Amino acid sequence: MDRYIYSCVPNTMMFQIKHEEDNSKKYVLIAAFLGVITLIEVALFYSTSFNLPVILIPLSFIKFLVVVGFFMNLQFEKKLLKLFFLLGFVLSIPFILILFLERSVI
Amino acid sequence: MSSVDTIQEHEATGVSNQKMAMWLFLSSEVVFFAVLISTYLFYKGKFSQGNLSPEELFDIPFTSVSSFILLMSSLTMVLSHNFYEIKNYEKSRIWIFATAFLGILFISGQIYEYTEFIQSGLTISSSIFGTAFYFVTGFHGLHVVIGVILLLTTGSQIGPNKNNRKYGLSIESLALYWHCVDIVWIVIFTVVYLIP
Repeated sequence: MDRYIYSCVPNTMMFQIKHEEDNSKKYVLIAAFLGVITLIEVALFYSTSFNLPVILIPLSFIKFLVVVGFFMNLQFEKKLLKLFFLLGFVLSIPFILILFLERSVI
Repeated sequence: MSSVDTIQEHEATGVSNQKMAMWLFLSSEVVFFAVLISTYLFYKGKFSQGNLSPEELFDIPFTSVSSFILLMSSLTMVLSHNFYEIKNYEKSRIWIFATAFLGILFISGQIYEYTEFIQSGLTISSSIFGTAFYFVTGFHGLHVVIGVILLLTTGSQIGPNKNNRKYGLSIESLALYWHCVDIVWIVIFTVVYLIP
């Protein structure tokens, strides 16, 4: 386990803070993209000719990934932190399965 | 290019303990909300015969504006963190307060929405759907309120003529928390409000 954890981190034992350049414009563009997706979602809601879950779930997932990847900076984070976040989804699967298995029994 | 400062904090994994703890906390939040949203889906159709259905009750244009406000608060939060990183503490403080303001606006919208629903007959005890709905959106709202308190507290501690360097990890952790609250709402908005 220890060997695995250390394989996820750089050789240095020092915690470092990187002073990044001004990324304001990049973040504004990303937010505009998220806003456009939200507008598309609402427009689709009022359109009856689409199968809503099939379109809205992937759009919502894209927004989720963009916020996690760019705003939370997870794409640039260490593997260990990505695994921690993923752990939440893995741990929630048994709870959700129990809930829906219960439903099928009822 | 970017310069690198080394802080005298030795961390066994190369990630600060505070940041790691925050990601573990967010992981537990994912489990919490995944189960709450699943419970909502489980009980979605179980509303009382006399009550309005969710489709008749929800005001989608209003909730869309609320969602947009929360989405934009993620932008103001990331801008605050960005300006903190480039040591522009005054702008960082302004954007933190802007985030808190958008958070308050979102909560005000939620209170207005709840008032409308209660007047229409949907209370936490009127049906099992009502219980599930208020639990999901209420717990999310509680997270927003906690976030706003933390934002106001942190915002008041940084600025010119203050020891700003020590708040770096706090702002990063706060930003992570706020973005997590935002992604939870992205899922709630789609699953609870938009999908029939």
